[in-house]
Amino acid sequence: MSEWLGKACEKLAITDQIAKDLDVCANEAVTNIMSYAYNDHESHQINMRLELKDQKLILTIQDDGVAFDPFNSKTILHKSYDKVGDVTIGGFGIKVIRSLANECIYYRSNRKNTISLIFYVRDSSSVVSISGENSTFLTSCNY
Amino acid sequence: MEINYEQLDGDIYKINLKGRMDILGNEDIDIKFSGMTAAPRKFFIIDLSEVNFIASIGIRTLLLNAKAVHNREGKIVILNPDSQVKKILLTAGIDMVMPIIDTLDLAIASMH
Repeated sequence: MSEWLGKACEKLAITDQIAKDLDVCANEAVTNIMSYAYNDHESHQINMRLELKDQKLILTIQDDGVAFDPFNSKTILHKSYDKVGDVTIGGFGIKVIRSLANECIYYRSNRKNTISLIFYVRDSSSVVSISGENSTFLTSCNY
Repeated sequence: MEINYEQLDGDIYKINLKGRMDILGNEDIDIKFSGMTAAPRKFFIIDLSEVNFIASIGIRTLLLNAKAVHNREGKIVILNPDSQVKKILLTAGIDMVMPIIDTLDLAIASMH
């Protein structure tokens, strides 16, 4: 997945910093799906799409697991703590995603969960060049 | 992922990690890491300077071992993480429970 994301970011001329943030968020999101979305032993498919549109980099991840909104406030476990003993293990992935992505969207449709993680790339230095006349580039992969 | 350790003066153990601390990388080092931080050892410097990626699974490993070390009144600090790794650690709030220190001298000085 990281290799696919790296190549996609290269094609989209996304800066290294945003590409690294995207890599972290994608890993956390897919780990979360694999941990919580499936309660059977069947094979499943997770679809991922990366799109640059209107100066927004949009990573969309779709799964066919049980309904679960990772961005619901009840799933955010940690705010602050003073010592190691206060820390409850878990919930860091979602916290990291919410901190790195500018927008986090969840919806459920046709028995599928979809999350979209949006990164603003307004700064011209964030998008070096987009090939072709169309400023939208779409690429996707399946798992 | 690679892991090894060296014993410094003052019964301080410096654990050196290298690679991507994601699901696959973490599988490589998780058990070894716990073994290296096991009792009766108490003082640890975790060198993350050669870790170029950390996911929550890696943060979980750091914290689980930190909790065990703290429970026996030991100390554990993180040394010189890569800028992206440091950003993730700060985002997760790990610095509030595991100090992030830039140099080995300062890390050693913080132990006692």
